[in-house]
Amino acid sequence: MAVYKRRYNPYGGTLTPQWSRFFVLTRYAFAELFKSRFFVILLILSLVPILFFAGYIFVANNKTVQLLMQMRSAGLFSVENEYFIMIMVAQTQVAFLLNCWVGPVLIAGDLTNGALPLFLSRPFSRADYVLGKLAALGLLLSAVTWIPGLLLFSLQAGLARNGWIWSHMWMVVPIIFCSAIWILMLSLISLAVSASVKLRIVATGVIFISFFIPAGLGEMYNSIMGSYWGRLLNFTEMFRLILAKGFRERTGLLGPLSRNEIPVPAAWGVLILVCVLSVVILNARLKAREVVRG
Amino acid sequence: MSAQDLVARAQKWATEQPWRLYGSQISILVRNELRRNLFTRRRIGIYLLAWVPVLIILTHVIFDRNQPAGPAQIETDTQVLAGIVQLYYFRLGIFFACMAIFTWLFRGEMVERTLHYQFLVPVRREVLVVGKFLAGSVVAIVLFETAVLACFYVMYSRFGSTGKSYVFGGPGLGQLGSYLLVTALACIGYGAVFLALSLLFKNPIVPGVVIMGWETIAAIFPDWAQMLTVTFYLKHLCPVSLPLSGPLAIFTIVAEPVPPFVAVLGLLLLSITILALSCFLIHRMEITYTAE
Repeated sequence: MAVYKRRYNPYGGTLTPQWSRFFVLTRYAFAELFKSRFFVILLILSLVPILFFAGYIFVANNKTVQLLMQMRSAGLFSVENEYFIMIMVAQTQVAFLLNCWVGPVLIAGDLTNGALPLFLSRPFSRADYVLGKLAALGLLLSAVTWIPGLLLFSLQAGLARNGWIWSHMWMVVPIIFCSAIWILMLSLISLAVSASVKLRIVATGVIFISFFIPAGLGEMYNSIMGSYWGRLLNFTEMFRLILAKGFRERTGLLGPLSRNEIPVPAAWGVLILVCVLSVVILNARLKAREVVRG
Repeated sequence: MSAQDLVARAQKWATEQPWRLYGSQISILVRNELRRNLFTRRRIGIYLLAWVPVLIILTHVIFDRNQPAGPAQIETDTQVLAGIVQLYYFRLGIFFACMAIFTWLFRGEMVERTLHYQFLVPVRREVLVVGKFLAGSVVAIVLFETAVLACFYVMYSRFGSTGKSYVFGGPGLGQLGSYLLVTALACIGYGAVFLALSLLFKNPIVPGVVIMGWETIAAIFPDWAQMLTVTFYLKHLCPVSLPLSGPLAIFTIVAEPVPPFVAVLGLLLLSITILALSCFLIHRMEITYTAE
């Protein structure tokens, strides 16, 4: 057909349901991420500790292997709440590194290239946009935190006897909820930074700084003012506090137990406040227009 | 080729170099960099990194002005100041500020697409590296030396005559001198590391944080491995030892004491070696603005 005979025809195919439109962005974000060889290597490396954790569980439940290794001793291999705390601490730190690599590019590219008006001119809200980007980070970080955590829990439940699964079923809740708050906080901070700082190199630095510097300042505040509330600025420590409470940890594995301890609701409050602040920044930065100064 | 031949060749090379020209080129580069980078909006974060401790100490002075200011309190505040310098400035403040200042020297030009102007002028790339490094060092040193000085002044000024006699008649002035020396050395050491990282990696932040981890855990490694860290040399120059216990003690462990002049020379040698590596790396550098 000659070009001049062509006329505008609206799209006649099936539309993506409104509730799952945000997932289109997630799909494209993943496609973009997996193009990077470095990212694939980083993802594989972040799952390596899980293999070691699984190996430990296998040895802990296999008396023959223990005999062969001549390491048979009561209490040497135990898979209890402390062990799952270790898994969670290790994997949430891995998630932090993964987030620092992935997060800065998610929104910055769209803002730099002026793509946001194109997204928002479609039947696609700002909330959908943020949800799509958040889902990309959320799914990725879930793959290295609570999903392997639950798989290891299932492995232990399958190998252990004497009704281990029923006496430890409560641990499923902290595995999921503690991971969820950490993932949500990391993802929202990354998206807020990505929306505010367009350069990847600077954004990565800002994400790191937003975790390390407040912690240092908080400690400084404590030592100068003779207080302990400065620890509220140490997000990692607040997360560990929540983790210790969630896993009913009383041995001081995550730091010495003292009377001067931040209450757990305050720790939750800080992490939620960080999430809210990030959402406020996202709300301010994500507009379907851009003012160009100069 | 014998050693004598090598020395003779080195001497011939040294006499053939136009050192005066290099010197003037470096001074122009330093001036340009300072004019462009010392007072900009982008630097606000770095100023905050340096000056927030001063604000916290100022708050402490205002709120605790009615507390008795005796020798015991001076002792406590000396420990607090040592904690601020050794834990905050060396481990976080100067580290991240140097990360921001020195990685931006070349990566920033790459991002702003102006590096080719620098490469097109008739200046050797080594001169460019040294000039930019000196400019970054001047910015970092000026910023953090004034901040440390302000912390020291605010901390002891509230003690009045007792504070004055502690500073001028006691160990205070010596401690201040040590802190200023160590701050300058920290800026130079971290600066050299981050300059090299920015020439080696496209995004030097993640390797930078790996360096941070290495600087933290190096205390548990053998001596020769510790010598490859900046903090190893700084720890030996700190005038006040911190009574830290638990995991934080890793920041202050000194396996084998080293004389101060050896520590200063060691750190300068490490920085010069890393700078020489940067001079080698700059020759490999190609401008690919599209990849940024």
